[in-house]
Amino acid sequence: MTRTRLVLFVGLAMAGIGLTVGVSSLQAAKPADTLNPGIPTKPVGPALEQPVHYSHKLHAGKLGIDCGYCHTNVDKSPIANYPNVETCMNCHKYVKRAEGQTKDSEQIARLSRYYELNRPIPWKQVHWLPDHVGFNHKRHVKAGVSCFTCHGDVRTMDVVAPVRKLNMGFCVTCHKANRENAAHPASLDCYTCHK
Amino acid sequence: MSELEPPTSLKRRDFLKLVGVTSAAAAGAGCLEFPPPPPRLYPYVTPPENVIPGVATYYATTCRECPAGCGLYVKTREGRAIKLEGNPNHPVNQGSLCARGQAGLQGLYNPDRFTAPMVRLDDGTMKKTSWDAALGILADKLKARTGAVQFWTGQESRTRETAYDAFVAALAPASRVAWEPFSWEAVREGNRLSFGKPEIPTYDFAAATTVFTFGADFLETWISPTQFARGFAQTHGGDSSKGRMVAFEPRMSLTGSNADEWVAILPGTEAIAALAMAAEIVSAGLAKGGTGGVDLSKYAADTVAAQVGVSADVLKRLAREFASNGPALAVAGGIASQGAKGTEAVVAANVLTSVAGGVGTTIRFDRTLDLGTVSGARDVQKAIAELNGGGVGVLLVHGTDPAYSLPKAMGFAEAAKKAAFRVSFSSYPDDTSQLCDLILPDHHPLESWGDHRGWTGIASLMQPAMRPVFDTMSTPEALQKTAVKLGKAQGALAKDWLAQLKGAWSGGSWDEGLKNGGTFAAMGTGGGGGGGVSGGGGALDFMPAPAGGDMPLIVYASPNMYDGRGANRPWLQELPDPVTKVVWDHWVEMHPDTARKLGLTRGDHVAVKTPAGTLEAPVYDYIGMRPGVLALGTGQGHVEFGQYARGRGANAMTVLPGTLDSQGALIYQTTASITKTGKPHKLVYVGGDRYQGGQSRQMGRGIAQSIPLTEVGKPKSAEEKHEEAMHEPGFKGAIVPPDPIAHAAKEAPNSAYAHHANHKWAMAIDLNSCTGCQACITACSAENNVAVVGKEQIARGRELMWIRLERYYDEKDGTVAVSHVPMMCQQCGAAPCESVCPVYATYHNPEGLNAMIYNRCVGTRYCSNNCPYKVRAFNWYSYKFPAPLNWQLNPDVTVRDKGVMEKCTFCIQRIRVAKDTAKDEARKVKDGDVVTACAQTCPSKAIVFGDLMDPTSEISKRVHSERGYKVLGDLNTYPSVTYLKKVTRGVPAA
Repeated sequence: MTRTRLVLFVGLAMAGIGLTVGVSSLQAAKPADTLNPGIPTKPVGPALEQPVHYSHKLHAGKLGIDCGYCHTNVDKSPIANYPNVETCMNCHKYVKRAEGQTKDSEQIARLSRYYELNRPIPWKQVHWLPDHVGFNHKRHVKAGVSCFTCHGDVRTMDVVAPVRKLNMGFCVTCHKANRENAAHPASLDCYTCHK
Repeated sequence: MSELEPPTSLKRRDFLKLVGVTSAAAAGAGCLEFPPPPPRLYPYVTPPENVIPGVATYYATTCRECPAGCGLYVKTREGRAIKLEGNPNHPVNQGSLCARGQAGLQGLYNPDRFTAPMVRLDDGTMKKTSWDAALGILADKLKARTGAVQFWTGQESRTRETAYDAFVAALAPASRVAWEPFSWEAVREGNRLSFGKPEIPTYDFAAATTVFTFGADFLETWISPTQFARGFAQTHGGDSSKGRMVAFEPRMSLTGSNADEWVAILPGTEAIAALAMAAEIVSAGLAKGGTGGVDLSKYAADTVAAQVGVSADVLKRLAREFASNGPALAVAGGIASQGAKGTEAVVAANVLTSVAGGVGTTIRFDRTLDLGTVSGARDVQKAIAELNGGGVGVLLVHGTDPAYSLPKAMGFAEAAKKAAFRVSFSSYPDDTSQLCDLILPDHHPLESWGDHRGWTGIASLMQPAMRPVFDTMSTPEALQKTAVKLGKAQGALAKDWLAQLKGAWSGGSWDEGLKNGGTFAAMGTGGGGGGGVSGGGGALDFMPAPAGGDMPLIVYASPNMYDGRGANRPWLQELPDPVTKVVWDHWVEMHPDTARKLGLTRGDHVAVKTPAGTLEAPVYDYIGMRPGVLALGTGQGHVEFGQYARGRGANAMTVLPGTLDSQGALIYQTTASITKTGKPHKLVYVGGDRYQGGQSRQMGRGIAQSIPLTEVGKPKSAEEKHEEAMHEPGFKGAIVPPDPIAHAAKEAPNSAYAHHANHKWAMAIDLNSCTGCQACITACSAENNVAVVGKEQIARGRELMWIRLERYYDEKDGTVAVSHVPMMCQQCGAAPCESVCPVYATYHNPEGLNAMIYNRCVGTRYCSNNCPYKVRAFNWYSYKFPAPLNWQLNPDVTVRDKGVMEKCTFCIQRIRVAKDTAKDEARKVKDGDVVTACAQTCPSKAIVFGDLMDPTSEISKRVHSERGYKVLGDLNTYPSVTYLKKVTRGVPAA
């Protein structure tokens, strides 16, 4: 290898190490919580425009509605759910426009139309897993994994974008870290997820 | 090193760089491109109460695949029924469900179902229409008709009968014919003569120490098979040390294969065989009951033995055994009650039970089976005559397929065409609906409200487990709407169907009934009908008619196809026939000697010619036949019944004469001659009895082991110990691999293996209880999304079923002993398959399972190569589930694609759910939380599953049974499945 190349290689390696150290130092400030290693912020996929423009930033962020108010089955079922259209109508039967608006929101009108026609809203799925994976959502929520750990801080998202690569490596890393977790042991057995 | 450089121009370093870059690019692309997202995600608009998506909801209803009426739990997910299970509280089936019951889902989701009402156009094609239009057409035709209305139904539940009869009454002149192909008319007639009651009594197999069956296939189709199997297992199976069953039949049925002794009598001689034994009991002074006026002197064993085809000594010996080892039960049914002397056979069996003192104990009338009003064969003949005479203006058909299931010689199809207008309520196109002008498809029973009266004291409720899949309408509702159009909606017809049901429900609280599946008074052991047989049988002539020149041909009820209704369900077509293991076909059976005499080998295509007609079928030579007798099963040969059944095999009804016996029951026997057709035909059967010396003989492998009853509980002799040791791990100093978990703990303490497992799953299969019915296979296929591969693939040995019922013959002392061994993945502790997978797709999980990770499998098939049990199945193609069969798929189990190996997983999805539930409830998994699909459905409760690390579990006790052994244990695979030896009962000491 020529000298230039050697210097380049070493320089990159050191930068790489520095970067890793730098990132982990941000998290080193908090006490070690193996279940919640941090809240990612950088999107890893597109923010999908949905059939009805629902803003988590407004509802969950500004208005402070709890995640579980709409996503009702996250701690009751292995399958998490998008909210029933009826849940939206709990408020939007009456709330037709935002504060200070001069006319009714077009999006709320769209939402109401779906409800009137008794048709489910065809959401585009932002977080999904392949068919051969049996991910038990209830177990993770009950174990104390925060919503934000996997989904990011949704309260800041106007349109939800995925911020975690939900690949097997991500699952296994957390399961490895929690193997010895006395309160919530995580198994590394393949059959835990592969159905 | 230039002489070692590859001769290509691409240098090694450059090649590696190229590979590195491409894979990095691929990985980089892969990082950003996950598997493609699902199309859309639909929430509920208004969620139904009590339904949590992802969690199953169960509904109790009743199975209608046969008149037994077992209780069902229907497992639904997100509004779709995906699995049928037995209702554990239902006294008939007690949580089990036979193969046909399991296959009910494929009736619900059948791709050939009528999706809407259809009307036949002038050019003969069918066109979909709306319900209003269709019922309008029916009303118009009824109004404008000349002639009577004939309504053909099957055996219907009581309230449906009321509704239909009300409709018929409103349309006078009109009549209803209830043609249920298997309604055991001869049994009822025989009981009328013997006991004064034309009913099906309680045959208490659980109370009978000695059972003699004359053709009654009580473990397959006769009356209430799951109930009888359970009762039989209580005396004959498990650890029971009593009970001997002898089968008298010219063809060894599956029931006969479970008998301790098979006596191959000539067809038609069941009556005199039974009376000969009764005569022996009386003359030996052992009689405990009367003979009901039958003069037994004419039927002494020495007199009739030659006609029966069995030695008189055998009859006498068996007679004495029957009388001395009570309580005793003799049943005549199946092919015995379908011959020319069918009713006589039933009466004779009743006499035999009576003289042995069984009446009131093993045969009781306190609880009888309510078959409603099923029509006898004479009524059927009258109805056909009315049709023939042109006197029928409108013909309605519901729940029966007379064009298929009546002997062709009775001429239903021709007569039906003379009815001016014909309507079918069938869910599927069938032989009868082919003749009809209007189709008004009924809901499937799983979509229906209804009730079912079975045994006395058992009122079963039916509720829809899901919304109707298609645009169908329940027939009572359709009739009620028609009555409204006709201005005749009074009385019962004024109320809608659900109101009628609720009004008629007398089984206590409606809501309790819905929750439990009905109300059930326990099946007691109360008396009733004691004393013996009455004098009705005295006038009968029990002697069989003299044999003609041709060979006798018997038609037996197929356990899979039943009366034909099973033929459109791919699971049942793929399920091997339990006796012959043939799939997707129909065949004629004869003894190998008979075949040889006729110059035939297995698979030869022949014409079976009887006085009534000819059919063509391949030959299956079967050693369980009396030489010189031919047998055909029911159920195949549909002209129309959907893609799986259409044109497959031959319909045995085409060659039957349609004549009646002395009491008016239909005869399903005739005589036939065989000639080769020379046509090519591929007969496909799974394992066992291939001509090339195959798998139906154990050849010393010790797979199906047995122990004589006399040896149970005794300390083992040195020879026995040696014999057992030969098949156990560690024999002769063989290398015994260390326990894999302990080994891993030492060698790889950071691996998943080394962690303490909370469970060690194991299974025990009691061969003494298993009857070989194969309900387990269908349940497993339903639970685990096992695809149906079809005849062609099975011909290549590519069957996909996770369980196979091995069947071994043992020929000794001139008789045949049959063993049934359910074989599935043994979840070996030292699995030969795990170490050879190049990609680690199969490994040993800390709970003792041999895990199979489908998406990692690359399809080398080395694992199957190494498996000594050959329980691994490979997906040679991406097998399809044609809609709406794919609605049945279990969302908790991956659907496998081409190129992936699959096998039994001990229902890991159920284990997962049980552990999840236990964790929610902050407790440990307890025994009984995890029930595999096979164990759950077995009518004999032959399979037990559980956790060996729980010392109180049922499985922990079973594995230590003295009858326990491991199949091919000497291979040191450490299987997790323990088999319990079958207990053989030879002739008891005199």
